[in-house]
Amino acid sequence: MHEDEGRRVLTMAVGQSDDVDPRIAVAQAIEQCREQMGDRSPNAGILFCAVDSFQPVLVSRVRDAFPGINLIGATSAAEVSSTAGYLEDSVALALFATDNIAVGVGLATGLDREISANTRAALDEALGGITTPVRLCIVLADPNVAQLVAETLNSMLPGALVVGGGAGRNELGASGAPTYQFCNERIETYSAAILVLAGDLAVSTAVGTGWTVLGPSGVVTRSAFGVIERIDDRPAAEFLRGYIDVSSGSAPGNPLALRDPGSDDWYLRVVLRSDSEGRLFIPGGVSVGATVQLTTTNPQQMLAATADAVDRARAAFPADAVPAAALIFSCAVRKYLLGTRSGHEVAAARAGLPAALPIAGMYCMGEIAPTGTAANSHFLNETFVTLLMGT
Amino acid sequence: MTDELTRENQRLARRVARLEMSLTQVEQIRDGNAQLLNRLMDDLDVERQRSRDLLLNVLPARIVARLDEGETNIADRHDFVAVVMTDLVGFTPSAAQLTAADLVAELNDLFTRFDAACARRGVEKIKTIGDAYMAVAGLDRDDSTASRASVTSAASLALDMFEALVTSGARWQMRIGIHAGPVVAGVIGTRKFAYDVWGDTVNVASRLESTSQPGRIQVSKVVADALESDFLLEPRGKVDLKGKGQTATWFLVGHR
Repeated sequence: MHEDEGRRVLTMAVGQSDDVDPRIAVAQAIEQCREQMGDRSPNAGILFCAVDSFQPVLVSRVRDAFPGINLIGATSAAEVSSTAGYLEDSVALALFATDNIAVGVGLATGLDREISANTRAALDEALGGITTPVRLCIVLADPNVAQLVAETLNSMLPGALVVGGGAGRNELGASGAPTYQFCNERIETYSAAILVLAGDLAVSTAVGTGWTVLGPSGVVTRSAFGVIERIDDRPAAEFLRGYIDVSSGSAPGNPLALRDPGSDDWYLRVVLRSDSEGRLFIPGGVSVGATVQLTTTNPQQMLAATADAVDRARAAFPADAVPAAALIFSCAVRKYLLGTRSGHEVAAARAGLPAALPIAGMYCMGEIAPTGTAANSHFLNETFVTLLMGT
Repeated sequence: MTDELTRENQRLARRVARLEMSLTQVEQIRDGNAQLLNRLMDDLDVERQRSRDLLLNVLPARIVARLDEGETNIADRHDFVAVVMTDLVGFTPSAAQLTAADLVAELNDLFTRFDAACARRGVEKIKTIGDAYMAVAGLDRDDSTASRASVTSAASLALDMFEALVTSGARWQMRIGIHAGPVVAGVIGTRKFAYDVWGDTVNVASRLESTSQPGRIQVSKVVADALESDFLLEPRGKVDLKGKGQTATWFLVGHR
């Protein structure tokens, strides 16, 4: 373990509570973090808050408890931590105390109008005063814009790992319900909260899915962002006809598996709905020429993929460093599919990681992480993402 | 105490609301999977039938049935079958003059007509090798009284084949040889199945074909004897058949 005058270079404390009063819940989470922090002062934090429990005052309470902290956060579909495991309607707080690791936060707003420029501005805000290379960028974004935010961050942070998720809400599919992202005292919708860590930080990540590709195969022949228009030169909905019905809503249990031309990596896209022209609406974009197939899964496969992702993240962690924290970004659909076993994902993480390693995370509407051998991160659906951080 | 109960009630109410939402989502996912499964089962049935149809193109139905039942080494002795061998005269020179596509199209047209004739006459097509076509009558009959019927079927097939050659407008002439006797029939291969017949009867039929004349059907004595009452035959005399020496043969001319 790397020590600096007896102190760890990176420490993460986690607190979590599902008290029916969100103000009491956040107070309990803060108190749990304080106990773990001891005499260290956190300089950064992430607040994951169930959308039904979210109140602006929760953000203020954390900021008041730790003046000057760089805080980001988002609403979530469920929350996890090594303190309380898997909870719904809870508040989970992860606080970081770092030495020799610079941190910065920014909030990209107005993303329903302009994504690239506003994301760049938020990153500039986060990077203000940071002179060392960014190793990690954690982003919590509105799910509708998460892919383009991730692509912008990829382009601006070559060599950095971009990981995060789409802010959560209760409803799956093409819901009009808002999600919230926050950065310090600012709370917004259609925004992206960014936390960057720069300096001597070791990181690794891995993605697990657990879906099985099946049924007929097609090729996307026309698409635009957020919509697959044609598959095999026919209206895209015809490809699904008889297999899954998306005319009246989403099919979260059977996402499309897609593989871009020249790539060996599959990724998933939930079909949110179709329209009378046979177009399929999806979160994020799909390349023309991508191979498309249907999928299915079951809890055993999903949990095996979760455990495998944890193992791969641990194996990929630099051998000369020690993990100090783990963050989890899992898909809201997974918790529904896992049902009473939804807590098994964080349990699998705890089983596969060092016993004392603090863990925090959220169930999101889309995840952001690199897959396979790709250097850049992608916007993913229905996956489990593990992020290990250490020095 | 009252506060605590109120909080617990709130917690339970929140939990119930969450469970109801989860139940709705799970039902939706379950229904989606059920529909997907049903459709995939239908697809599987279609694919299974397609695979079976492909297998039936290669193997006789009765052999497919035995494979279905788990039989692995299929080799049957048939005491009396009639083997028909054909060969196209002038095929090799024409192959050099036609495009590959035209050659295959013309040959396919002719052999498709032969296939139809086999089906009409109840004769089993065994295989084609290049421009040669081999069929056997009697493989589906295991009683000795059917031997004459087998030879009759083979002869009718041979005559049909010449008619098909004419109506197809093919550029080639054809020789045919027919012999009858015992063979062993069976399936070879585990990945690319092939149903084939072996034995001296096959060899003699092949020699009768190769020593026949363009436009003629040369048959052995056993075949001629079986056909005598219903078909017109023309004695050819003795022909030197490789491995058999000087052998009396007949030309099958037509139906009486």
